[in-house]
Amino acid sequence: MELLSNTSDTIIACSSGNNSNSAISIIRFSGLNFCPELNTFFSIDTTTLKPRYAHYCNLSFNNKIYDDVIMTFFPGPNSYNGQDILEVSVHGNRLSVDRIIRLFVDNSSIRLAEPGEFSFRALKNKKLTLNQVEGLDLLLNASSIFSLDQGFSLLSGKLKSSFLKLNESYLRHRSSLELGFDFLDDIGEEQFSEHFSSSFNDLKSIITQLYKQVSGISTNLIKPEVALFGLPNAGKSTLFNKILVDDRAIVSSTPGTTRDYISEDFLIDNNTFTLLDTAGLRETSDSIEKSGIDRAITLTKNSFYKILIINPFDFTAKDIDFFKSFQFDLIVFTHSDFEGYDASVSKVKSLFAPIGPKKVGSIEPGISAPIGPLQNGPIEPIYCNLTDHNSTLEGVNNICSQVSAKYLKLLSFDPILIERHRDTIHRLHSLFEIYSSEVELNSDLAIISSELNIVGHCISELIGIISPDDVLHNIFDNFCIGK
Amino acid sequence: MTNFDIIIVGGGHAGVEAAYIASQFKNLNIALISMPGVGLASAPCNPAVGGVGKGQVVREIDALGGLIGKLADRNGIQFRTLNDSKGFAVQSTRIQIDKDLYTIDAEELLNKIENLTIIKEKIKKISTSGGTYSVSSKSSTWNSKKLVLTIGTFLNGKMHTGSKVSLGGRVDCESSDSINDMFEGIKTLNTRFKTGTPARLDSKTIDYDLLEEQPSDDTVDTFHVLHGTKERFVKQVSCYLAYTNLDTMQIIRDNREKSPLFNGQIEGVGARYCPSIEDKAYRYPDKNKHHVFIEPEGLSTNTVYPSGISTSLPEKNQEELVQTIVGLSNSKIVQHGYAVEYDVLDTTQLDLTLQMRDMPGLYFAGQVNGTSGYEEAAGQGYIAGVNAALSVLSRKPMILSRNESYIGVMVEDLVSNVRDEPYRLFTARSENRLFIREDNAINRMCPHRTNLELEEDIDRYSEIYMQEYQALLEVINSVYIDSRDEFIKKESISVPRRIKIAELIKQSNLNPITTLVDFLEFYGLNYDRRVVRSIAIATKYEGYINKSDSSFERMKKLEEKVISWSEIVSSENISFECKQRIEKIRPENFGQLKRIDGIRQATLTAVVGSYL
Repeated sequence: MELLSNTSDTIIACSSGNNSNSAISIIRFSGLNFCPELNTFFSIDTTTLKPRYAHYCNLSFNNKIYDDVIMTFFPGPNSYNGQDILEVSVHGNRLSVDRIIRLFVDNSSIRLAEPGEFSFRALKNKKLTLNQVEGLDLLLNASSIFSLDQGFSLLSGKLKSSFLKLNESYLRHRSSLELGFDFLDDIGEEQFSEHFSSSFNDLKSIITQLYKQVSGISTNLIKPEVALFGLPNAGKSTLFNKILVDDRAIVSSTPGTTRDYISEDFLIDNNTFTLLDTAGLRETSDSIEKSGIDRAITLTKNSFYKILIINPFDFTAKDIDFFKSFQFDLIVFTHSDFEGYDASVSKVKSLFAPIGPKKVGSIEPGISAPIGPLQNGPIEPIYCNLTDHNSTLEGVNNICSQVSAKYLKLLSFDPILIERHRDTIHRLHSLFEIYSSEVELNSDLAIISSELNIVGHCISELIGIISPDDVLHNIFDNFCIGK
Repeated sequence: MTNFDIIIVGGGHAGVEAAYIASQFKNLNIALISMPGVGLASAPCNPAVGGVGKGQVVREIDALGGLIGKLADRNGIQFRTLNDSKGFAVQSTRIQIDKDLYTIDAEELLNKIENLTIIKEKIKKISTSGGTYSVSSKSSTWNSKKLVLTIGTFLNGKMHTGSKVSLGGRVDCESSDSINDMFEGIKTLNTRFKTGTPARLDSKTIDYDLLEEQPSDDTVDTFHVLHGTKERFVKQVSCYLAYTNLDTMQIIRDNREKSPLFNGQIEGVGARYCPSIEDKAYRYPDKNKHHVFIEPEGLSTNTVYPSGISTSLPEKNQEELVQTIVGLSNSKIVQHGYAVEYDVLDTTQLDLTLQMRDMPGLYFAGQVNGTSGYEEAAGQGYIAGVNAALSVLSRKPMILSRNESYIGVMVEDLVSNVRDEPYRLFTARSENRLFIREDNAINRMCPHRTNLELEEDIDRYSEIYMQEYQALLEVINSVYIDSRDEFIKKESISVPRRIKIAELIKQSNLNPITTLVDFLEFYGLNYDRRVVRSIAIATKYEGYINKSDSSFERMKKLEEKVISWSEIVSSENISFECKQRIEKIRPENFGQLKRIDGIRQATLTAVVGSYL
């Protein structure tokens, strides 16, 4: 990580929310004694700023005024990251903010901050420890009560203690192996095998347990995605808007309007989910549309919760083949305000019947509305009649409770949220399998022990000491610029 | 002559090794001062050299031009390979020695060395001024530029047999005085260490028919590289295996209050890995069957060493307990067992050349540094001796890294940790066990030996060895064979396709050594046996070592990172206790910091996060 070696550079970034226009944005500088260099940019003397006081002045360069700003100076070492920090509050127009940042980058030795670089300096200057940064990362990015809790538990060391338990079990197993080399005369072969296999099983069960907490979750659980997918014009955007209550997606009656995807965060029971409105899926020769469709397929398949939207008046046997490959959680039939709705729905349901319950849940032909149960229980059809506000609300609530039920069920396995931990546990699990097979096949204890060392190395990584470069890299990649 | 370049005080295994290597620098004048009445390199405890981890050290010392391997071979009466079935990397050679011949041989060898003066007097006073060290006995004083203290057996020693307490480190000889009586200002640890030795038995009173015989193994390779690999110098004899039983352990348990180890008479800390029979009896009340190895102490002496029943119980109890053992029921004790407690140096004052950081020119090696074992002592003696010599000559020091040698592991462990029990080498102490093997000691040590620019026989041998090694390596990686090959046919080996010899010997169903030996023999190719063995094992392990290396590469990189201990100590994020330890050890890189005992995970994390 290059930024490791360069903590004396002065860096700049926009530290406040940075994707839309707002009243105020905060531009932050961090470095060592950079104030003199900034003197030419402000209408007041930046070398004599009173610490922690707000100063009002103009931001100008070459006689051109760029903005009027308020700035606050936090001298090191008692600042957030131990360095001198200057926070400049500017008007929050994106163009203006970008122009100001570029002004400094182009006309001084100041450079743009790497993701997470402000906090990295805090770590470097002993303002935060690695654990705190990791927990802080989760806390700052927490979008659900669960990840908030896990962030706190990381800070308080609970998760860590379960990793330490793993480490202890590893050490016990490791020492049982060492008994076989250095102390065989003392304990004898029999006692050695006894120690070895009991500690092996203990370690195995701990690793298996941890693996359970990370396996089966290929999606992001910190902010799980809920994907709406289906044929063009099935009513995805309409439902998207219904779920979000206000109109955000562009809706028209020409098929293929939502060319890429639109996402919006929404809350169910205090947990944040991202709702994805994907491009309508269909065979197409339009290359732009096709790339949108490919993207939609990938997005959908990687989503936590997949809702297939069907217009029962526009769904044929050939469409079944296309959609059955998606492991979707829920079907929503739209256009219930059209005449002949019930008959059309039954027809589509009968199309799904041959696929069988394994793929799509049990849609039994004999049952009229409600449809289901699918993977997560029954669901009423959604009435997309805009005039019937109550029935829409009820349908949406139903969808939300289905999503929430799946989420809570997953959480009951106590899943591990931090990506780095999950990656490492996956790797640990496969390294342990390799180790187990060496134990079975190889009689050379030196080789077995060398393989166990590799397992141990992975465990040390999990508890956060071994490859700090990678650990830091991962952590700081997940920080947004300027934090 | 009273002025020397280097004086070594102490004629045990450390001192002898230090004197031997230092005197190979022919223009230096060396003196070895040893206690009168005791032979050089005597073996007061078990009569054996080598063992798990220790065999590797002996071969390292030997490849570096040291003495211990040569002496062990020439006076070895029983050869054995330990961990024979556990894999090549952890196989270790152990040789039972004739104690009397061993020490006579050591005296003769050292007496022949022209630039080495051997003085047998008890040292009373050591002092330093102006960079010169003065060593005085009752009647004489000698001066030197460098001083190596190997005064380990036994500093301020006190022996216990039952309630009988006497001053001294071993039977029939004087103890060294307390170091502070000799040399003011040298810091010893607050805790004393203790060790013990079993009773010696009269061989003629043992019923060997009732014991398991362990004959000398004539397939075991000698230690010294200039000896024939299977050469034997004296008559070979057997060791025997006996077992303790419930009666044995009951006697010990019944007399707990008479054991100085357990009734508070001894305060010293013993090694957990070298327990007395009392330890075994009290700590493992359910276990009554323990191994007792009956080891002859020599060809001409009738005493045997019953390994495994070290005790400090009163003499009467010792007799009773020995006689409960099958085969020993009529045995007579020639010399009773005892425990001894002694002072040890605080080795965190030393640097990686075993020199006192605050007193340049003063080196410490051997048991005084809190180690146990002749091999550990010899390894340190070599390091202290060679570095004292290099330092007189103003040349670069020799530092062996822990990644390439057990000596390096030991020295670094010693200087980076306050010991709380006697230190012994185990293979487990090395992170690089697949690589630090007995068979490749020459490969590992040769570059260091070459740096000394000495011209002994061993240097010529090593040069040829390395050339042959490269040549054979080339052969096994460039010669291909397939199923039509005459050798393959004769041995009925199945090969999947046309493969290199290197791949052939890696096949899991073949023994790499015998396969390579047979192959070379079949085609009439003649290579040094040691080269063949080492190449076969190296080839077998190659894949695993690479795998392990790549897994540890990041770790190694991290370990090598230089840290500033003073900066860490001034940090607010680190616990007071950790700071104290760090301040004491002054680690120079992250690896050393990591290996300090009692350093918390949190500290490591903070250091990694903050300073690297």
